Amino acid sequence: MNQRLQQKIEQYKQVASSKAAVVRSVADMHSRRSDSLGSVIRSKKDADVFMSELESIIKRNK
Amino acid sequence: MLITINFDDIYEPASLSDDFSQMSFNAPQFDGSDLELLVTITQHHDEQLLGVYNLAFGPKEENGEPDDQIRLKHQNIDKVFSTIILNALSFLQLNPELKIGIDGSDDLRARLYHGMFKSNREYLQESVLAIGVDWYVRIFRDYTYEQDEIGNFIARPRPEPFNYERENRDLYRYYMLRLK
Repeated sequence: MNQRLQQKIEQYKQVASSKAAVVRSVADMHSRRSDSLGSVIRSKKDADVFMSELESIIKRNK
Repeated sequence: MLITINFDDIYEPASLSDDFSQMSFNAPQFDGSDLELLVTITQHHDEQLLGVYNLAFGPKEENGEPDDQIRLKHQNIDKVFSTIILNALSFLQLNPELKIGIDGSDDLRARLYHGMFKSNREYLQESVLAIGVDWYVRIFRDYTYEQDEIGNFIARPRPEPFNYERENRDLYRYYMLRLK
């Protein structure tokens, strides 16, 4: 991550910590609605292939 | 519609969770009202897609989730998206292995996301890996298409690094982002 973005995130955190009400995290929850990606994942194999292609792209583009 | 991301011009959060997975802010609308938008980042509906999170935003529904299907007329859509994207990147900074998916569920939304990635390529490219996902149907050697038992073509998702040469009319079906 570049320094400029890092700096913006830090500023954002500071403003948020002084002004925003604290609410609970929802990161452990699963989205209740399926989306278009979910509609073309029919099996564990589909999911595994997709995730493997995704990880490969990420590795090549770091 | 062209969206310009500028992290120097964002709305202050009205509420925020410690890990940036839930936040809200007030977005002025064209009719003069202030609308509280809820932003959530939750695990993908399909539990098999480990590490893929869904970004949703919109007015809070009765069930506590954002209504991300509603059409809104924001006074400053650049500022709305800058706020949402900075919050998403803050979430990813804490969770660098995760990916955030944004559903291009209809053409209007897909055009918006596609245009956003394209027009902010330079601004985001150093830190953000944008990914587009197309659907593909397999063609067999006899030139028939793969179909299910009732004859529907079987579409499969195929991700690729976002191709910035693709025009706004050549949309992906699904968009993803991750920190580099």
